[in-house]
Amino acid sequence: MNKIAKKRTKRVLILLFTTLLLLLVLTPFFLMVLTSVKSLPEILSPKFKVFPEKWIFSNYAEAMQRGDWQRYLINSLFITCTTVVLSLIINSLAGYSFARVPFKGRDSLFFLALVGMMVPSQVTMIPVFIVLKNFPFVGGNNLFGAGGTGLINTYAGLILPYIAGPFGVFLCRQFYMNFPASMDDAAKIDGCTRIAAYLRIYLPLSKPILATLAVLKATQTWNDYMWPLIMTNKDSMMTAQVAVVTKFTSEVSIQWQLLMAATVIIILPMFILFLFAQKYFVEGIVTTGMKG
Amino acid sequence: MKKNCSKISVLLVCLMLLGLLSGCGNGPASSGPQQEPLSKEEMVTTDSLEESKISDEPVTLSFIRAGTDEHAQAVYTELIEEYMEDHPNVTIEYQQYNYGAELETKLNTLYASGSAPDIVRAPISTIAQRAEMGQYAALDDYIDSWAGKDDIIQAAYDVGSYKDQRYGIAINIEASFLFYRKDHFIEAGLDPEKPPTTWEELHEYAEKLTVREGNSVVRSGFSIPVGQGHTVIIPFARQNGGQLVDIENNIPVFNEEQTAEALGYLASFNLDNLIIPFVNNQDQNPFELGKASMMIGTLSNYNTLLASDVEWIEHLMFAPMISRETRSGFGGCQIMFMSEESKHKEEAWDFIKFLFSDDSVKKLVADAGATPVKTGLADEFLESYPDIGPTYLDALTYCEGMPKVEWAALFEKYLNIAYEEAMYGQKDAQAALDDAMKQLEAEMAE
Amino acid sequence: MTLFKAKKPRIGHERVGYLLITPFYLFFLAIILLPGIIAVINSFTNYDLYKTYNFIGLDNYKALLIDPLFKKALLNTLIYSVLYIIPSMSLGLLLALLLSGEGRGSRIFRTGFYMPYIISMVCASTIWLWMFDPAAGFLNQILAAMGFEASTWLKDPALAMTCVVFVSLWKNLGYCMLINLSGIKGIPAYLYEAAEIDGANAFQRFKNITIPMLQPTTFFLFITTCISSFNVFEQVNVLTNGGPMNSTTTIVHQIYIRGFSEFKMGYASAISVVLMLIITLITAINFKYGNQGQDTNIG
Repeated sequence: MNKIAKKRTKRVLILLFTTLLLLLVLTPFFLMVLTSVKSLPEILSPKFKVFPEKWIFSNYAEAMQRGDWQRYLINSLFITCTTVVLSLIINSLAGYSFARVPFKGRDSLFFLALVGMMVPSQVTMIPVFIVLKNFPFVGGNNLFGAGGTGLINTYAGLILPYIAGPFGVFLCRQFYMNFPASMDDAAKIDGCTRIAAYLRIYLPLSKPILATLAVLKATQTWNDYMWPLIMTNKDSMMTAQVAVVTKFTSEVSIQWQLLMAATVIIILPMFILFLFAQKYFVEGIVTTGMKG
Repeated sequence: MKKNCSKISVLLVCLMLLGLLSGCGNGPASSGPQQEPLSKEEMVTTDSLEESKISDEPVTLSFIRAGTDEHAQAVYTELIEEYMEDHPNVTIEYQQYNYGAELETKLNTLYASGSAPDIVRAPISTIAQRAEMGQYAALDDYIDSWAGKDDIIQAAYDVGSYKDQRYGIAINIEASFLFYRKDHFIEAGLDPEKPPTTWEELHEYAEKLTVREGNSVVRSGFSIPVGQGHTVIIPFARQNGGQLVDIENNIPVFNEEQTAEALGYLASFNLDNLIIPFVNNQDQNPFELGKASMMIGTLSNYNTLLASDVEWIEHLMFAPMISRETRSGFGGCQIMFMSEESKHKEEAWDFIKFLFSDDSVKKLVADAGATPVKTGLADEFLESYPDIGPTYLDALTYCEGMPKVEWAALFEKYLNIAYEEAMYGQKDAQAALDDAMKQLEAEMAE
Repeated sequence: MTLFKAKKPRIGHERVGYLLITPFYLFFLAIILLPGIIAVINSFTNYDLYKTYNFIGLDNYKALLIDPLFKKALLNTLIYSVLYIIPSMSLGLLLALLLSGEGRGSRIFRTGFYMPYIISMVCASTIWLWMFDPAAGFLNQILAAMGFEASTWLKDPALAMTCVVFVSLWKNLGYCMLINLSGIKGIPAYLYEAAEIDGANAFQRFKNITIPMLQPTTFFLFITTCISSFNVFEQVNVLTNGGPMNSTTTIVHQIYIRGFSEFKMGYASAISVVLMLIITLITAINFKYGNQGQDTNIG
């Protein structure tokens, strides 16, 4: 009987510990939401109260009136969705190829892709900007990429850098490496080409990794701030993340209540996405994370 | 089966290409909230002599403004709309960015890629660098042939010049002076009609006004930043007779005795535990949060306090900057520049002139808290700002900005390093300045 | 039904592989590799982000060797990495062990711990900037209410780096937990059962089964965490901007400052080349000792 009592105490202690830790971790979120319904003088007053005197839900409406938020959110949504879809196709194909298809120079090409990930974006930002600006045949450019503005201020200009990253390829490669060689042999015996094998055998089994990749890419793209700041200079092309940073901070003050309200709003899509994909998430990383 | 496989693969590739091509389309066609339908009408202008140079062709100007203050934004948007109504063939694309990293990143990207903005409203801090690199256009010819050139106060030309050429005209001069709380003064037994005028008084008052709980300051006597304090050390150094830079020989001299004394004086405010630490341009000044009794402020700070609806606004009082050998206050400015690479210089200049017209300046003064940079508008200004107006106009006479050298950014960086080290008591003021000088000189030598 | 195409392919070399990686590689070349090479070339110039562009050989690198700010940044980055990697990996492991159950309770807890990861670093840093504010911040309010002295947190040179590390930990804890979780889920249950029958207690089971079986996961996590630590930038930029007194400036922060505020893009490119070499070294080690997809299941 002692053992059972001990086990129960242990369970209670563990529960206590994790609950406390969770509360600690989530406290900033609670504060953020509470701040978003306070008035600015109240936030700035020397006396601190956790709960607001008056619950000012109009902060949300007011925050959304600072600029064309409908446009900003649609921009972010479009860019994120397109990035995710294109990434899924391109990265999984490449990952599959690096993992299952033997060809000359495969591993060197893969390592090169990995090395490319290591140059920090701060120094590639300007060259990428120039490359996109001088993209031939778009945005008024001629064959040599001169004369117009190229891909600046376009959706394509924002999406391209996001789908060019090797991280997704790396992830997919690790996933596809876990399948036994016998699967490829069976496919070969059936007369399938590599592409057919991918479509008929691997793709149906790829749900976990595709879901994982989708969530990771979506988060990364939705949350990015630097690229849209540089790549666009029209208000109509601004993304939600850039708007949050620029619309509520002026040279002398920060409108905390509006800033928090806007932040809550742009967190929501990612939160919903994560809840929805949680099942795939844990499943997905099960197969990739462990195998290095 | 093989045929099916290859068909599928072709389909896949086509889908990919389609996806790419659809993404390649341009973004929405509108170029900002102020898009007006274009029509080719004759322009109606008042200054016909100069109009002959301006074309009737549709022209798009890009205008980048530093600062995201919403009052100023509203006024600029209104002015832009007005201008575009009068000049239907001109479209002005307006963008604004926060000071500091955001603005500089944006400008650097644009200049580096050959997409220079036509008109820039930027702070004085990078004028030397950008003028030296040839990014800003020299405006002397334009100004000289301008009928209204004498209506602008001389200070507005001075701050915008570099090496005897005028590159910009200040549209807003942020002269700084002393803000203080009447109620705190009375509470501490000080006479609100007798604000501090010397260094000693300032320190004495700060000691009386500081409130602590245990060892932590909950209300600062005189609130100065612990970091990025160049806007504080520069005027105090000048008050003490310091030069900071030797313009003629183009070298820094800020480790001089007078500046070291000033820095030591400022550091004593932290070392004597009289301030709540904050970093300039990153955090809000505790004074604005009601947690300090005195600070150095500008007209924008005043407008912000009005807008934040603080309950203690009626206890706010103003006084001139402290003086020692001379009186000196920091004068940040917003300057209108034009890019050398602009393809529509005439049109850009025309818009700049419009911004400096009497009506525009009046609007900016009344609604955006800008300063009256035109002679003859002083009375109207005092009407709009009866409390703070006189102190501000007075401050215009003794304010001075960053030294205009092309290594201004480095100067600011190393001065701030020394400032921080002295404030935190890591080094004594003279040593901090000496070290900073050495590092600055080393970097300049490259 | 034929097994071969018209031309007999070499065994172990199927050209369709190139086709499959082409879409990715094209974008990669244009957006990552090409600008990367440009950046490396820039490191040998005095490019100032405008019209100056002259080759100056190794001058930037020579200047790097004697640059006190770069050395400080390097040191800070190492300190950050140590302070961050150890707690994040151990806490991540601990949480994963505690929350590896299937029940709804575990799911809720997992979601909760994962939440900070899904917001952007800019958002997270903004919230924490407010929490850490010496004048009006939440933390100081709590301290005051409990009767303790307020701290200046991010303005205190001795404390600033710890605060930055704390924010990173808060944000990435859920992710570390999740990776460890996946590793744990991959350990076959019968190993534990067999050990229990043999009389091993909880600690012995942990030491002899969990830890070795997690080795590939741990290594993967370790290397990727190392790389992201060396690249730390956004939270430094928002929370402290490198201060106070350069106690939190990091390598990438220096790259940013040099390149964008001081117009010394050539120099910034040189710093980034050095950073790239460091990270490549770490990754190469990973490739040598880490798993490459071999199945390590026992039995």
